[in-house]
Parts: sequence; C-alpha cells; structure tokens
Amino acid sequence: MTTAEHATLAKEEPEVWEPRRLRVARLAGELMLTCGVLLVLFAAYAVYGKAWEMDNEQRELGAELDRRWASGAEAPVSGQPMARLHIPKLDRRWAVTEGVTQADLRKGPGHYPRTARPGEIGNVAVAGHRISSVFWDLDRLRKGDAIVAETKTGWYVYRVVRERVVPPTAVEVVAPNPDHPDDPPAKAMLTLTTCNPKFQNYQRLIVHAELVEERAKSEGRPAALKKGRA
Amino acid sequence: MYAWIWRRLPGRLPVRVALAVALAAGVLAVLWFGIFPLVDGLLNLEDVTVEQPPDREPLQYAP
Repeated sequence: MTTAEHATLAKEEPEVWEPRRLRVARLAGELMLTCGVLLVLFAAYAVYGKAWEMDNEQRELGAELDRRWASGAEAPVSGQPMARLHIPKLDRRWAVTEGVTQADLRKGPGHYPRTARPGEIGNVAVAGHRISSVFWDLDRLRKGDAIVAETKTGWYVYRVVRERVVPPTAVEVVAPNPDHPDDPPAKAMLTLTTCNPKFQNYQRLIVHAELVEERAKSEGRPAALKKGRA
Repeated sequence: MYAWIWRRLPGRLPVRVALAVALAAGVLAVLWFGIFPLVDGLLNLEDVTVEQPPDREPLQYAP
C-alpha cells in the first residue's frame, strides 16, 4: 500500500486503521461479551427485579385489602385481594389475590377460584410463585407448623398435616377433599401449591393443612401469630 | 462497536465518561423495566398451579 492510499483511508476513517479480519473478530467478540452480560442481567432481574416488583404489588394490594375491609365492600371478584395469609415460621405474610392467572400471581399468592374460603368446610387452595418474596421457603414447613388465614371478620389457624410433590396435572390436590377426591369434603383444609424444584416447573410442591382454631377479629390475634411479627 | 461509540462521544474525557455512564444507565433501565418483563412473560417459566390435563373429565369443585 502506498503512502497516498494510507492518506485517503485516514481521511475517510479518522480512527486507527485495522485489517478487515481483525475488525470482524473484534466485533464478534464484543457481541458475544454483550450477550453474556445480557444473560447475567436477565438472571439478576428474574431473582431481584421480580421480587422487588412483587413487594411493590403486595404493598398496594395490602392497602386495598384494608380499605375493602374498612368499607365493607362486597365479595372480591377476580383480581381483587380476598384475604391475608401469614406463615409465622417463615416470618411472612401476603395479601392473597382472588384468581390464579399469570396476572393475578404477579401480585403475590392467588386463591383458586371456586375453592373454599377460609374457615369453610372444603379446601382453601392457594398458588404462589417459588420466588424469594412468595413461596420460596415452602419446603421448610413441617408437620404442625401454623398457616394463618385472616379475613375481615376472623382468624383461621391451620396446621400443616402433609407435604408432597406431584406432577402439574394432579388437580386432586385442590379438590374439596384432597385425600379422597371423589368423596364430599369432611374437614376444613388449606392447600398451598408452588413450583418444584426451585427455578424449574416440572413438578408442584403441595402443602396441606387442617383448620385447628377459629377466632373472631374482636378476640385478638391468635397465639400462633403472637411470637413473630408476620 | 464500543470503540466506535466512544469515538463519537463529544467533549473532553470527563464529559465523555459521564455520557458513557448515562448511556449505559439508560440502556439498563430500558432492559430492566421494558424488555425483561416482556421476555419473562413470553418465557412463561413460572406456572405454579395444578391444571386439568385436556384428556380428563373436569373435576367438580365445591360451590
């Protein structure tokens, strides 16, 4: 290459001149690095970003629930908060949305429509994501641990009786009588469902609990809740 | 690519650094609040409910 040719190139491209091969290699390398960074960022979003979004949704939903209880609004329809759920062992509480669509579950745990309401004979079925702000630690629950449902009028203390892992098609776990799906319900039960294992969803982790105590709001918080702040 | 962007940032070095940081923050915000929620919805990795398989009679819930 002559000096004159160098001069023209320098005029067109003020940057340092590189052979074409080197430029292509550099571009490919930069693109690959960018893809790697994007994947790491997306993973960070999946863990922290979504938990943060859900915490915000829960704050709003909790406030809405308190408003509804204070104003005596009629029964909640799909997408509205229907009760509060406390798990003292995990030091957690959530406002539970009525419905289990993806949109409902973005706000926190969701109540399966047409299943029992807290305190009723039958099965109060609640689904939630396996993320840090919802049912991440559900596998830490053991037989006898308390799950407390709070409605406008009362507290309902359930104790865990069974934990199991089932395929996603096992609808009998949310049946009114989960032990004998074909029989009518005999007990007041509560069932939590979430994905299993963590970060995957080819199974469901199921926690069954039975009603052991019922008290009116006027009688104060149940003993199961007094220790933790949840 | 990044060198190309860097060369097109105007001003002296501190100005360029500030612009580059602002640009990166802007891209991150678009990803975090716009693109990632969208991709996450499309991936649908978070199904947590139990569902009726299509080939079975629907289970009767209590009213």
